[in-house]
Amino acid sequence: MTFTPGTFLWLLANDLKLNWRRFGDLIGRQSVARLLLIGLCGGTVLHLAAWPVAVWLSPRVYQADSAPASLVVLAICIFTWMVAQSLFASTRTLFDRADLDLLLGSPLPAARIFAAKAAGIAASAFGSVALLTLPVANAGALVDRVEWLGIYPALVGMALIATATGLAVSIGLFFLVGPRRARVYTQLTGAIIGGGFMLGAQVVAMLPVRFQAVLSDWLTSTTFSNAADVRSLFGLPVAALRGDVLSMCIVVVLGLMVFAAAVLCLGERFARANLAAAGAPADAREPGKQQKRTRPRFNSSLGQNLRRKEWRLLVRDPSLFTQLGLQIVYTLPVAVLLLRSETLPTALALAPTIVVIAAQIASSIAWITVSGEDAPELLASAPVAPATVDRGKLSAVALPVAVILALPLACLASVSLFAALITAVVAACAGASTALVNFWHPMPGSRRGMLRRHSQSKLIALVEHGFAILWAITIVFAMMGTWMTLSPIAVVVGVLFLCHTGHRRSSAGQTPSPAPKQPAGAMQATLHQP
Amino acid sequence: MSVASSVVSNPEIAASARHWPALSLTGVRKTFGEAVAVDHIDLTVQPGELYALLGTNGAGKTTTLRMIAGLLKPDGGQIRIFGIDALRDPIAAKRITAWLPDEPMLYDKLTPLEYLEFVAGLWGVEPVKAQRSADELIEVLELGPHRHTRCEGFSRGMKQKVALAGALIHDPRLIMLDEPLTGIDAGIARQVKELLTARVRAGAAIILTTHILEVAERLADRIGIVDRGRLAAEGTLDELRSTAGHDRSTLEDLFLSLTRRDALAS
Repeated sequence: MTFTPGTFLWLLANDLKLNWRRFGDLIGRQSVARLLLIGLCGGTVLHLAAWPVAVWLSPRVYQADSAPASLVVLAICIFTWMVAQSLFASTRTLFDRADLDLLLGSPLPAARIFAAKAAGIAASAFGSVALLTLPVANAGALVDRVEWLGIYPALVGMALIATATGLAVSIGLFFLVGPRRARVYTQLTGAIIGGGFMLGAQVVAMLPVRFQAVLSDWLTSTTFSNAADVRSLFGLPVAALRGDVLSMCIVVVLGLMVFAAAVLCLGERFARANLAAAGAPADAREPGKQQKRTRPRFNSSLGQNLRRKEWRLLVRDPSLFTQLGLQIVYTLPVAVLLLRSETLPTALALAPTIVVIAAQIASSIAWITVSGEDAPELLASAPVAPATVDRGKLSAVALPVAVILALPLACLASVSLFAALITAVVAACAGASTALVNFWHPMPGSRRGMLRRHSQSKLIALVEHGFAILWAITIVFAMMGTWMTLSPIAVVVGVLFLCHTGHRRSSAGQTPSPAPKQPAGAMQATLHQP
Repeated sequence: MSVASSVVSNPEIAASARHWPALSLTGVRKTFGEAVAVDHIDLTVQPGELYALLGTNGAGKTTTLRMIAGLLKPDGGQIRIFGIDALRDPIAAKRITAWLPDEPMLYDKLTPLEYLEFVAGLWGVEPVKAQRSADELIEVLELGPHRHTRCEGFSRGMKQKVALAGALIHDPRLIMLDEPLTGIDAGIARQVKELLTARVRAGAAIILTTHILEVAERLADRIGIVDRGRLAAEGTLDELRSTAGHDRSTLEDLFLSLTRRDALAS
């Protein structure tokens, strides 16, 4: 399908094409036929998995005595997730810029460009939820009733409202705190909204039953004045999700109106914000501001020198902290879920979470120090063996991980000192293993793209996540005192051996070929083997 | 292995520097798959000489420099830097060389002084000497007012100056520069040229690539013209003129005539 060049639909189609290609990069470059096959297989698997979910949910959603509070919580979860996705997407649009300079330099009206970008953001917000929810809707429509398909328009309406909210927040922050701080603040807001609500919902579930009942009553009375009245403002999305036709129509129309209002009101501001964002670095510091003067230390050892440089770069990049914080926030709900379990002791609930966080944070920081290295040719042309540089960098990874884990380990120690000790040991092993994988198989990319780095190598992503899970199993077995503790360790050691055998980094005395810097996800790791 | 010795304080290197050319390439070859990037290049650069490597885009200039800098391993041939076999002992060779690529190798979040501190640490420069060199380079390159400002807001020319200061802090005997004057203004270009000329006068050897033929014409003692991986011609400007048979030609005329003639011949 072709659209008239310069129209809204033409711009939107271009944006969606680029988004689709970015998504396609995640599964590697494939032919159309293979893509269709992968889509068909993936869709089938998702629908088969969704089938029992739909069967289980059906009586809980549609029976007259089903608890509406759960649906309200679900709707809020979906909506906040979409708002968070919109915030991240609008940050990328404003700050990573990509084609914005080209588009805004053209004779097209800024409002039309903004509308197309906003529609693209809404599509990605919809897509972030649709992949998992729409198979459930389809399965529910097949096994139960057609009302399940109400999820489609409900999600469209919610995505439009979430996008308008996300854009308003990001552009509002832009003018409120300035272009240099806005990026970090918007990412933080997204992290808090995205992870915070899920975490909050789990924390609420840990409250005493009496408080939960009060909260549930309040939610129900706020959203539904009575069981039949589903048309209160907050009850609309829930009723739409349940397939109420009028509510569906209202949600979609309301979504379109809010979205249109946002486009009309924010279009001009977006153009101004975009001009102001040009060249704004990804931190909150004012340009030209003098760094706090420290006495130069020309007398430190090579290791100290490397560690100091890595720590300075880490500390001075708040956007990295946001991304590391996001990883932790998204891991915490698991801990809260485990803590809720009445059968698990507190220590056994906390320890695996600490280990998983250690593995993930160490992997991320190792990626930053190795693959996110800003001057690889400087290090490669220095008279230092690559192995020496690696050792210095590996030691630089350890301190930030230790600092991040200190508090949860102290909490664990207050419950059980022994548990804290073995958790610290296993966490150190977990961190070291994922860091080593990153050292042996670097994936060069821009530091800003840390969270998107796994698009470069699905295998490395699988190994990292696998290590995190295996070390979590290890700590559980270790605390249970079973000999099976050794089995996940054996698997990790075996995989590490394979990683080391096949690693592409040069050994001591040889030189790695630095790759040019591109955003993570935009290139394959390329290191030559001298 | 300790890196705490610079060329000046290392008597072994200083002794070898008296007897060997600064750089000697013999039959150096590099291919990327089917494509031949560098095809049996032989060249020699003497201490105290500035050698300009010219060529069209993709001719193999940068690949040649990257092999000398130890960033790429040649498929064949020999590279000697002040007598050191750079392929057998890359660490010793790197200790007396500096590599400045066309894109400055900087850390945006570090200040120029912190960057110099880091680079001096990498090359193991003696602390007192490193401090003195850093102060001198900051003064010569007029970086003083910005020494405590992070590099992230710097212009390209400023970044190039910081990177150049980093490349020179360990007093290298062989300096390799890839397009050092591209994208910088006339004032900064003059500072860079003066600094490089001073280094050559002090006995260092410089090999640089450039597309600005005037730079090669004015600065270089000898010029090599690379075409499709091969050294098509080499010598002083006068020698190149006589090779091309044009006594009063400009370097631009010679360059175009040599590269086009080769293209036609092939």
